[in-house]
Amino acid sequence: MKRVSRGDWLLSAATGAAVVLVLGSLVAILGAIVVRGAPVLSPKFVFGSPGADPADGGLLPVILGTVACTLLMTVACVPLGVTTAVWLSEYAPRTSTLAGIVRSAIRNLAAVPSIVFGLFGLGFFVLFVGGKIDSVFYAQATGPVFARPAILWSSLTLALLTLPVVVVTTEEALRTIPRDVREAAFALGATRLQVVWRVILPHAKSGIWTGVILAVSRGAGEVAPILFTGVVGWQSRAPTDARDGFMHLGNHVYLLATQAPDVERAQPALYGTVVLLLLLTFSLNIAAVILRHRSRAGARA
Amino acid sequence: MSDPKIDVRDLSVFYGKKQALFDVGLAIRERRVMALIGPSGCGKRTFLRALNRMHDLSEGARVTGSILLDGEDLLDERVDPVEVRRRIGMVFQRPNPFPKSIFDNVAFGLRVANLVTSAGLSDRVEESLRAAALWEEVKDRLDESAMSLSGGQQQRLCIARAVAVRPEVLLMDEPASALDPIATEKIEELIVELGKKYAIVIVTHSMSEAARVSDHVGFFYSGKLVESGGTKQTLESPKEKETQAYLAGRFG
Repeated sequence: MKRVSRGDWLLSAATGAAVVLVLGSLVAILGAIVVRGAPVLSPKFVFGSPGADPADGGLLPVILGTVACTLLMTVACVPLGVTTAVWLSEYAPRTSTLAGIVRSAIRNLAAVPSIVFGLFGLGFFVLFVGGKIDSVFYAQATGPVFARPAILWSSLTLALLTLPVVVVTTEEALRTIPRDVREAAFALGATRLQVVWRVILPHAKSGIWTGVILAVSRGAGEVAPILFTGVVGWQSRAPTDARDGFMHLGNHVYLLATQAPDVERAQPALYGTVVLLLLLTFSLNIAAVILRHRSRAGARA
Repeated sequence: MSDPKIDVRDLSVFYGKKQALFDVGLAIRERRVMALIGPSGCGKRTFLRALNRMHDLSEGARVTGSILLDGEDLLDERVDPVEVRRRIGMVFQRPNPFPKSIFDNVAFGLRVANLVTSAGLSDRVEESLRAAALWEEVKDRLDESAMSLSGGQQQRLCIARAVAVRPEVLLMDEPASALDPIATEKIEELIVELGKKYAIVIVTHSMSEAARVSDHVGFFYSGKLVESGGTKQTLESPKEKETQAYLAGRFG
């Protein structure tokens, strides 16, 4: 029999070790969290209202706040991101300087640390945009109406953070559409808008959903961008208005770990909250995956 | 002879600085099939794509000369290319149906042009599928994906899609080259049939196909139209020596 060469053996050993390491750390992280967090997940803990001590749970408004913020973010970033990608891929001339600038801006946006988005959100959305709205429409109001941290501003800040993901994945999806298909549509007398709307976008649907999935995964777990722009540590209810502050699971984890009256006693609640945050991110993800799958089936039908 | 359906004069096409087509003049007649032949890269496809202004979609392509459709110059900048493409349909080399249902594929051109009411839509779809000799095969599965059809059926679907908007001229870019012999035969029969109704311009690599389907041929070489005339006469006794060499198989 032929001997396995030393190089091959080393390579498979290294690959095997990498697999064990990656899977091992995943299991270790999730295992530790679930073992410690799952026991506290009673209906009261999850669906109750928060009491005086966050260690006692009552996370419903926190969950709702997280979901609302993530959905608003998606609603804000997907249309903008898809439109940008469509412009880059379908409208901008290949040699366009403007398109080049937009592309590199998007790339740079993706490299900005999330805390910088938080500060930008505070400065731009809360103080500048909010302040302008207030001075124009609410000059008579006694306090700030829009010029204060709110779920609206947090969502928009997150939308900026996740915008590059949507643009890049959508552009990638648009690029895979065969030239033939575009030409067929043009040759039938479709205008450029009709080609985009009736052929290009349906064709790219599942790629766009991939972008949404990535954006949601990224956006649902980020705390830094919402820190100064809308999240609050404690309020008794979920936001009912875009101008309300809101609670967020990610921020709640931070609070339980550092700001609880009795950090030791808050430990179980801390892990329970982390489990919920993971569950929520996973289910938002799965929802998007299902929608993508449906859109694929639709494209084939 | 009556006026040609399309009268092409001094047509030149440039890609950037490179000239791909040189001062081509050619008349395309109503209810006749014109086959464009010649070796790869000779400019026949460039010529075909100029007729429905597809070059407008390629950056850096420039077209000069005139293309008179019933006396109206299609290259006039006031002419909307979308309007041109509604009057001059096109079928491509590879079948390229949209990933939509069979019905929606045929209805596409009608819908984008808002040509018929939704009540008239299914009549027109049936009529077009019949014209493309596909109706009997798909009438019970119009809601199924066009992707479920065979290659030959897909190509006939693309023909149905093109004729649905009732164009005045049909352009075909090697429509049978990606198909098996049986599907090819069906497409060729269809071309002959459609040639009784439309002016058809077809690009083909196959001399025998040109002989079977066309009334006239134009032979292109190095971006120039070398020779054109009746199919039988041109293929059997070409006048120019490039044509003779090409037909004798000395290059191509």
